Order: sequence, then C-alpha cells, then structure tokens
Amino acid sequence: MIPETSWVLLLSAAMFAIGAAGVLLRRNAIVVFMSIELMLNAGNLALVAFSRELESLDGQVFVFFVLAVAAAEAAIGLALLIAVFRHRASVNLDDFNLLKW
Amino acid sequence: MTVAFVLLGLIALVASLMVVLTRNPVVSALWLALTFASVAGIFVLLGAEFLAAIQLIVYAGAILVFVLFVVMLLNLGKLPLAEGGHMQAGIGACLAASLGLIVALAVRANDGYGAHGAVSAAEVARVGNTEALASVMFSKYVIAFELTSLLLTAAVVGAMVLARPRS
Repeated sequence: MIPETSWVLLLSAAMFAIGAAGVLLRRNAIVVFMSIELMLNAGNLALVAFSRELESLDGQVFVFFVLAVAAAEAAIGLALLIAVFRHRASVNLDDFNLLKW
Repeated sequence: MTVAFVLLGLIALVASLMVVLTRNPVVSALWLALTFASVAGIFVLLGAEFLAAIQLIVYAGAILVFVLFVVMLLNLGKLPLAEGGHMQAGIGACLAASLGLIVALAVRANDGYGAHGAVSAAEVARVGNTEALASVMFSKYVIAFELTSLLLTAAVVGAMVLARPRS
C-alpha cells in the first residue's frame, strides 16, 4: 500500500509553509536555522514523491545531494552563529545590522 | 492513502508546527527530531529505504546533535515568539499561509506529472533500493558525488576557521 503522490505533495507544501512561517516570524537565528532545515526536508519529501511517481531514481539522488549540502550548511551556519555571538553576545537577527544600508 | 501515511503525516505536521511555536530552542530541536523521524517513515512508505536511513543518520543524528550543542553553548533561555511586533507577525503568517495555499492549489490543479523515467518500480524492487540508487549515483552523477566530498571538506575547514577563538 503506497500513499498517493498528490497527498505527499500536499504534506510537503504544508511543511514548507510552516518552515517559511518560522523564518518570517521568529527572530532567533537558531530557530530560523531549524525552520530552514524544515523547508529543506519538505523539498526532499516532494523529490522522493516525484521519484516514486515517475519511476526514476534521479529524484532520490538529488535528495542525497540536498542532505550533503544541508550537512555542510549546518556546519558553516552554526560556526558563523558562534563567531557572531562572540562579537555581539546575541543571536537575535534584528541585532545583526552592521551591513544594513 | 494508507493509515500509516496519515499517521506519519499528522505527526510530521504537528511536530513541525511545534518547532516554530515552541519558545525553548532545546524543545524546538527535539520536535525537529520527531519531524525528521516521521519524514523518514514516509520515505520508507515511498520505497526510499536508503534515504530513510540516511535521513535518520545525517539529520536526526548529526545535524540535530550539532544544533543542540550550539544551543547549549550559547545558553539561550526562553525566547519570544514574534519579536517584530504583531504587525510583522501577522504579515509573516499571512505570507506563509498564502504560500502553502498556492502550492496546494497547484498540486490540486495539475494533470499528470510528465514523462516516466527509465527505472521501473519492479526493477528497483528486484535489485533493492540501495543498489539501484548506487548504480545511478556512481554512473550518471559520479562527478557531482565527488564534488560533494570536496564541498564537505571545505565546509569542515571553514567551520573550524570560523568558530576558532581569536587569539
């Protein structure tokens, strides 16, 4: 028994919207980071659903690469957070306005 | 639609909502772990067993532990849910909801997903998901695969340089 592709895509859309809401609403950089991971996961879900629907493994290979890039992004992003926290003693995104025009 | 999919989907939705709506970042990270686990379950339902395992190992294992480390390193307490004021929160929520609605309408309105690929489900079932995936990854996408290792090396070195204390 396999779920219908359109339902998986709807779940993926809902998860992506929740992640986008997290990025827009929350101001803490770590929560924003977790919301971005949520959106990446929603994209992965859609890719796997399409891969099953279209009987092609390219979608699953893409998910693998997205996972690798997400791991790299986590390492760099959290290291950046630590570096910024050293300077500003804050991870509130509204405090990071040095490059703002 | 199967019962398992409905259950896992509901868990994923509730858990991802709680990631955004929880004030304590540690609790947020734990809800995120639940989201990742249920998405891994849906991967299994969709016939992507290898990716389900990788999802659990890389996301729920490595990335999440890393996030928890940083949360504890930065010693964050309870956080406000929407600091930019009610106006900004309202606009953000409306934008995100309309984004989800538009994508959902697009999914509902579509007719067919395009041409089918070369690897049939029966063929994948015969050799196994991991082996089928490996044969694609190490032939068609072998250059991208090798570049991934370069990317990860660069990320590790970059993370060490960035997080190192200034002497």
